[in-house]
This record gives sequence, C-alpha cells and structure tokens, in this order.
Amino acid sequence: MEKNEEIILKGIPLSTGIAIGKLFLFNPQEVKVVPKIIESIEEEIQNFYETLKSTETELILIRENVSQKINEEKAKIFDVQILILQDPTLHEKVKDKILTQKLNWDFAFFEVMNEIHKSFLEVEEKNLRERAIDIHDVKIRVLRQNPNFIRKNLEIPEQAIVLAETLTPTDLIHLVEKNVAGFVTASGGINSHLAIIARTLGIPSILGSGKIFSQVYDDFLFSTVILDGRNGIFILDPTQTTVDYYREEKEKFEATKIQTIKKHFLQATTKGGISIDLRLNLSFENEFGFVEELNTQGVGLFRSEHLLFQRLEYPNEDLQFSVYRKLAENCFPFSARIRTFDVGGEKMIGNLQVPAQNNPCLGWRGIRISLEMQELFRTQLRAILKASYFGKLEIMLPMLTNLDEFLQAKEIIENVKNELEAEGYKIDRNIKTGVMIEVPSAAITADLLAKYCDFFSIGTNDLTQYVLAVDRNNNLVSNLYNPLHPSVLRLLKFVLEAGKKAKIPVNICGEIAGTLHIVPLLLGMGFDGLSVMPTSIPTVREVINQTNKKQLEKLAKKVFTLGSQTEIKKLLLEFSHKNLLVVS
Amino acid sequence: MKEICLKIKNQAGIHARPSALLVNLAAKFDCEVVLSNGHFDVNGKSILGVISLAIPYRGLLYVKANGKDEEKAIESISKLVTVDNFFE
Repeated sequence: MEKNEEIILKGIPLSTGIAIGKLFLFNPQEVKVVPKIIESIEEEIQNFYETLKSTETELILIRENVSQKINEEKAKIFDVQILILQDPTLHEKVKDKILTQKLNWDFAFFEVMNEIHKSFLEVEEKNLRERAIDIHDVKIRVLRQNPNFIRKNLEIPEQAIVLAETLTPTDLIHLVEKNVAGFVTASGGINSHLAIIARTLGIPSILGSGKIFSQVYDDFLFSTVILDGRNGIFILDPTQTTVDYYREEKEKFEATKIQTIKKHFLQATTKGGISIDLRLNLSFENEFGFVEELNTQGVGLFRSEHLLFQRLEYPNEDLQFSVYRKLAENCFPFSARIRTFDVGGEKMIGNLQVPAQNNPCLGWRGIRISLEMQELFRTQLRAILKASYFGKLEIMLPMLTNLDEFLQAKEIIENVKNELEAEGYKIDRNIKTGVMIEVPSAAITADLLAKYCDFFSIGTNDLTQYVLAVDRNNNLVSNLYNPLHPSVLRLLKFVLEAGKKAKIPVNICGEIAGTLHIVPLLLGMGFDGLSVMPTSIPTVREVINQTNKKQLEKLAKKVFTLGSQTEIKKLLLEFSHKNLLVVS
Repeated sequence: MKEICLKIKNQAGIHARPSALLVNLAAKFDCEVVLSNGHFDVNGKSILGVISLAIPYRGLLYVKANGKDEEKAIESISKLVTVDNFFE
C-alpha cells in the first residue's frame, strides 16, 4: 500500500543537484524535557544539586583546557557559566518549583532557565542579550548530564540531509567530513559562505523558509527526505513512487553533469584570440588535485583561513607548512596565491574568538587582525615562505584599505625572510606579494598601490557589497546586491587600468568570474586572469571556446555606455543566449 | 546596615566579567549583599541578578550590606569598583 501523505515544501535553491537521504536536525534549537510525577521531593532536590556539581566539574576542566591552549582571557568566559551554576536565586527558583508543583528537577530547571533566557532576550541592552547564549549553554550542559537526555550520542548517519537554522563555518566543515548529502538552512543568501562551499563541493542545498522549519520536528529525524537543489523543493515523507522518480532524476542529473564537465574540461582553444589565465579558488587540501585534473593555470585564491575553521587549536607552523608545500607542489609549474587568514566579518574564526562586533563587515577582520596579532601572522608567513621553495607561491593580503598597511605587511615579510635565511632555510626570496582589492578605498587608490604591489586580485563579492552598502546575507536587501551596477564596473575598469599602467597582472576572483553571462564582459574588458571555483571551469571554457576577442571587446564597450544595471544585465543575457550553450 | 553609592568608571559598564568579579567578591562575606541600579534590587551573590542590572559606563551602583562583616563587604566592593576599576 502506498502512503499518500508526503509533504512538499519550497525553499530557494542555493546549490544545484538532487539528494535523497536521512534527515538530520543539526544543533536543535531546543531540547525536550517532559514533566514527570516524582517520588520524593528530597531526592529530586538532591539530584538537582548533584547534577549542578558534576556540570561544574566539567566546566572547570574545560576552563583549564582553554586557559592552557588558548589564553586566560578566553577562559574567563567560562567563569560566568560557573557562577550561573552557583547562583543562589536560580537554586531557589528551581527548588521552589519542585516543591510547590511536585515536578521532576530537570523539568523545573528547564522551565526556569527558559524564563531567564527569555527575559534576557527581551531587553534592549545589547550586552545583556549576548549573555542569553551563556544561559542557553548552561541549560544544555546541565540537561546533558541527565541520562534521559534525548540528544546524547546522536550520530550523524552517512548521506544525511542536514537541516540547520544556522551553520557556522566550523559546523560546516565537520558536516562535510561526515559526507553530508544535502543542506537546508534558514540563514545566509545565495552568496553566503555556506552556499559557496556547497556549490564548490557540489552538495545540493536550499535556503529554507520559516515554513520548512516549522513543519520539520523531531519525529522526522532519520526518516527519508528528498532535496532538489535545482528548484528548491524539499519533500518530507516521500512515497515510494516519488523516491523512485527522484532516484532516476538524480542519475540523469549526474550523468549530464559528468558529460558537460568532460566536454569542457578539455584545454580551452585560443582560436578566438582570447588568452587568459584560468585559475582555481580552493579552500581544502582534498581539492588540490583539481589544478591538474581541470587543466588550469594554478590557484588564484587559496582561502587559508579554512585551516583555522577545521580545528580547535591554532594550526602550528609545521602543519601549515605541510599544507602550503602540498599546494605549491600540486600547482607547479604554475603558481598558487595564498590569501593570508581572512577571518572576521561573516567568516568566524573557529578557535580564536573574534569579539562580537556591531558591524563585523566593517570591523576587525583580514589584514587588520594580522597586523595586530603579529605572532599569528608571522607564523603563517614563516610557513608560506618555507613552502615557497617547493614551487611557486604568492602572498595575497585581504581587506587592505591603505598603502600603509601594505608597507607594514611588506616590512614584516622582509623581516621573516631574513629570519628564515639566518636559520638556514631555503626560500623564494622574490615571492610575489599582492593585494586583494575588495574595499572601495583600495580600489579608488589602485594607481597608488600598483607602484608597490606585484599583483591585484579583485574580490568582487565584498567590493560590491561595500560599494552598494548592501549586505548580501541580509534577505531584506540581498536583491539590491548587483555586481553589474555601473559603479562597480567603473571601479573594476579603473583598477584594471591602474594595473596595466604599472605592468602588474589584474585578476578577478569573485563569483562573477564564474557567472556565465558576466564572463564575456570580463574577458572583453581585458582582465589578465579569472579565478573560479572548480565547478565553474566549464562555464568559463564555454565562453572562451565559443566567442572571439573582437566580439567581446565590442560588448564590453557597449556595456560602459549604459547607465542602468537592468539594461546591462539584459544586454549580457542576450549575448550569452545568442552565443553560448547554457552549461549550468 | 551599611550603604554606599558608586559611579561606574569602566568603559564597557558592568558586563559579564565585572559581574563575575562582583559576585565572587560578595560571596566571600558573611552578610547579605543587595545591589541596585536605582530601579530594582538584586542579590549581590547572584550572577544572573547582577548581570540583569546592566549598569552602563558612568551609571550608578547602589550597594547595601547587612550582617556580620557588612563594613568589610562595603569597603572591598568600593575598592573593586572605584580603585581597581574591575582590573580593566
């Protein structure tokens, strides 16, 4: 008999593909504790105190650990949690509830903590709202001590479809390691960190609406669900017919993907007279093989901060060195550009907590952190320079806003070079050092910076959001995020011309470099290189193979006469429909 | 009973860390410690209470102590707030 009660929900597609798997709820917002009839009030109260004590012991251990491995300052964060456990008013409230309502201690505690949590969230004072997270944490820690705790030892099944309201980069890495089949998340837009990683790794993902999250609860845990990243469909309790249908669709999808990819992975021809460096944006060690496999000219962006997200401890010099060396060897004879740690902003740092900031994208991030936390920066530079001997590495500085920062960084680099040579290491003394142009101030002064830098790489994702004052992860305004706004295009042109004048290469490493209808414009403008995620290589090859230089230059010229971003997009779409096969 | 009113010089106000220092200190005394922001009173030995006062930079903290070593309690808390400025 067929059940006929499948629930079909709709979200926004983030990463294409089909996944069929077991549902897993990550980071559940709430734990379930049920009220029970109790036998003895004294016993209940005693249990409560004993559990508080064992939680405290656990917390003191964590605190010591953090103090040793990170620093005392970070360890102090846990003092507040320890004090919450000892709080006499909290004890009174819980005891009172156990006594008057004859409730089991865990339910009484659960309710009291929820009330406090709520009262902290309601206030206007920001510092106070931030403490709500401590209250939540303590609640979970205490309840976890209870043997009846539901979430204890919950294992993620293989090929799970993970539903999570938010995922930090660290969570994401852990999940990727577990071979997750698909993601449904409630926050972050099409250009969020999660979406980019999911697309890079080919993990189907959708942005769920509130409706999806309100319909999915614990009962569906581990049940079979279907996620269609092509159109944002999410199906709970699918019938056998639906499962069979999607199995077939999945096979078809993957077969065509492989075919298209094979076709376009061949060396790009130069019959159209377009010569360009095609490079990769990579984040993980297991992607290094793509450089040769996809026939590219090296790595245009290695996001080194992923080394921080993947582990709890700061990656030491030896560990970093081994990764950078592997990168250099995999790319040779081409080069690999390592972007120094770019944390802060939407990208959180795993082990080193960057303090909460009102406006993180305008806050402490990228080169700003590196120049202040010089130990961290020097360790990274030592590892890069030591690895530079094994291939061709380049250093790229993120979030640079002025020449002084560049000169300061350069001085540190020279310093580290001398230090390493004095220690007897062989290094590439002429290692190229360049700048990621992603802040308007750097773009506007590109001509001044060009005299000192060895290359520019334009990070159009950030540049666009800074120029347009649009947070690409804020669903209320993300529709205003548009890299084709004439202001952005003018800046790109200015930076390119500044680079050409100083005879340094100018690359683009934002997502537009892999967007089918925008690639012809970038090639027509005459950029020296594009750096894209592995799955976008076919897109760019398609443009190079199907068009010619003259045609593209004409197109670019036309774009710069237009004042409306809508018209620009229309023109580019028309061009790609006429001249290009649609790959993705 | 002893009472005193203190002005907060700490730029960030009485946030989590200063609250923890206050509570740890208050807990050492064998007397009742009541703190207030002028609107409501809390138990000075309760971290949740002290944090909820949310006293900002230049705000006022009212301290009341009642019991055996009330004098010593008031003296130590004043020192923490005005002299040591929460060691920040």
